[in-house]
Amino acid sequence: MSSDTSLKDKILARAGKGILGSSRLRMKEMEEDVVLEIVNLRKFFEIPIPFETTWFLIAFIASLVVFAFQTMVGLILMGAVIVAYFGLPYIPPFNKRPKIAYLKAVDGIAIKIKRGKIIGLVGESGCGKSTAAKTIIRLLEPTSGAVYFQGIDINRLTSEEMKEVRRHMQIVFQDPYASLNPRATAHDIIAEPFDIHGIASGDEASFRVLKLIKDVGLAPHHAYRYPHEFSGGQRQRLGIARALALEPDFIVMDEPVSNLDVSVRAAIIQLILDLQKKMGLTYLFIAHDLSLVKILCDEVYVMYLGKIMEAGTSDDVFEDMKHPYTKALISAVPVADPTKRSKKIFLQGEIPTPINPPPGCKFQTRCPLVSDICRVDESPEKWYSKTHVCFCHNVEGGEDSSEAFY
Amino acid sequence: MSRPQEDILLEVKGLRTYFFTEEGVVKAIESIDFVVYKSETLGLVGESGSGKSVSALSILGIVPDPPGKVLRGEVVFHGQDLRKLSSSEMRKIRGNQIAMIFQDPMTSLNPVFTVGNQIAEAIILHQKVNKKEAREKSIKIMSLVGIPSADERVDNYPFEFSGGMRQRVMIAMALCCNPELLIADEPTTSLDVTIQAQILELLKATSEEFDMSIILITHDMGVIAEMCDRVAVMYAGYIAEVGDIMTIFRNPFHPYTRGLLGAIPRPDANREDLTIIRGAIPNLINPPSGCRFHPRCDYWMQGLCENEVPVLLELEPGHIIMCHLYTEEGKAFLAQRKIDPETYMKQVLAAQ
Repeated sequence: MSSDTSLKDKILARAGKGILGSSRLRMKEMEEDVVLEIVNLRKFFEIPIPFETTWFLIAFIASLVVFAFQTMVGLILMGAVIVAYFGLPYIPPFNKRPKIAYLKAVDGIAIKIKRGKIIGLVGESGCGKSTAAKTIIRLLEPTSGAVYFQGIDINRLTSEEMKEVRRHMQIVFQDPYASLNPRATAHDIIAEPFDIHGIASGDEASFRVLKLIKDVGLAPHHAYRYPHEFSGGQRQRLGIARALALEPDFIVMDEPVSNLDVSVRAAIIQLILDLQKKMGLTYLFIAHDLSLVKILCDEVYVMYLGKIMEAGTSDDVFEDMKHPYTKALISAVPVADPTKRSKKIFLQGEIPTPINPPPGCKFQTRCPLVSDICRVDESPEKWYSKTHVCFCHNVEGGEDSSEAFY
Repeated sequence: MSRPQEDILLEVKGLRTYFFTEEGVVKAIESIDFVVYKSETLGLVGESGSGKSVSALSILGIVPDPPGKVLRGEVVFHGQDLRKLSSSEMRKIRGNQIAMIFQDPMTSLNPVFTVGNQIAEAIILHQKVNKKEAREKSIKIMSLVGIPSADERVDNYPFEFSGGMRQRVMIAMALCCNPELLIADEPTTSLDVTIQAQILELLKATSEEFDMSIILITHDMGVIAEMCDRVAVMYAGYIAEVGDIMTIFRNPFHPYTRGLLGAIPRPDANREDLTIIRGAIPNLINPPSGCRFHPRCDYWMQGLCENEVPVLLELEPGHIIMCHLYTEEGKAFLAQRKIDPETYMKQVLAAQ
């Protein structure tokens, strides 16, 4: 495990090899115990706007008919029809890009992740949790915003420099079967990172692989099996072993147990916790099982349509929630205790499409507290304690910044 | 809590279903026994592969054949054994008196017909109505299950609905003939929590309104706790324990039920409170002998559990359990070794 300076030095060393000048390196002073800081991160996907095929064909055939009688007029008409539907050919100085809509998957989120903590990111499906995770570790390029890992803005690094950072941040995916190469043995899958980073090879690599396999609760004879020969839980253990191979500080867990059966789920959760204790790991844990997040995570961020709605410690969010969305989300979770059948808060309708999200507060279309201001202005940041922040116009109380509580 | 005999709507006795595949005979259901009372919700819970869905298919007589076959047992509904009915008689009951909804609504809706068409089809099949009346009825039932502007959406195709709305369409289709029993096979597993809460609430409200019994199949103990009056816990083709909801959650007897409850995050639990059931559900081509749970059981009495299948015992009225810890054989086994059953259980618990 490396300290701040050594990671920076390593990157500079790589940059010094003539790959890139260090001028692009952007640093940020961070608090001692913060591993990762995400500032105003955005990720938009470009969606081409489809055109009406039927009308295009009707117009085009009509111009063909004209072409049969009046050649010149027909040609001009045909050209007009094509330009009308496809736009002018894209020649940069003369015209703008063809029409594109933006799917705002992640629309400005800020997260601070402290060393050794488990941070939960929750929300309905389609709220941008997984896109956020992938953007944070730069599997996707962000549209804007920055991710500071140990003080370094990772989005400004070249892919060569990025390799150094990747050793310290890893990801475990939801569907282990889809993320493991079906034609490689467990041994080869886990040894691949050693190979890529030139850390170990041959016997030493095998030795390390066997140790990792033991660490995640598999047996040595599993090393030469293929992914399809494992059960779902074992595959997820394999995925975790691969993520651990480079001894990272920070691991993103993208719904690691959602596909697993109840009893297997508990076993994987225990493994994740044991490893954290043993190796001092930091997790970003993405899940939609809120009862699990409640007992697992130290801090929880509630996301809706690409934005953070509420954040705080697990107790803040689950025991003293402020935001109407958090309230509805938590009340919807079935509680495994028949004496505690609670009154549910039902949200109207479903999560709107992120292609044209509502202006102002994103939650306004389903919010029980909605008022006129929500339809116009984005919701302000309101602090309810040193750790507890909520974004809503209509929740009473709160301070403008967390400074008020110091 | 056990209700009088005349309140029984459906009784399943010693049902056995095997699948004859190329690899061997999959003994999916060895023997299951349970009853469903009038206007109650019975939860059927267990890990995947424990035979929950196959039980539902066996009750309705729609086990895919080949490879599956219901080999023995009775399914008594309103005093008649459904297994003895001819297929045309059975077709009159299916969808009419007993309806079923499945986990994935997209695979059970036909993509090339409008949803109105598909609901009306069920109505015309079981009731003497013409097409126009059937259409009006389907609009009515669609607005009842909470589909907004049902008179327009009746002409939409399944792909034009979201996941939650599709499940509502399925429920509408199941309810359109006022069934007495609804079998819901993981109705909310593929849905978000907020949508799940809506669908469960809808099921609860309609079961009260139509005075309908529900068999709710799920692996989510939370859903069971929210919805059910009684619970049947299944393991590898057997019913391990049946009891009312309070007994199962407060005072479960079967080691498997305890394991299941320990493996889920309870409302007041800590990280450390999660426990694990060792191992995995067995391959049902070669299931373990005796009690099928014994290789994973903390209370395994070596020499007894792997040799004999425990009998079903009714410990308290309505609380049925299949475990050697409570049978005469189990007590005799421990007595032979001069161990008191109570202290045996305490010893095992302390050893963990």
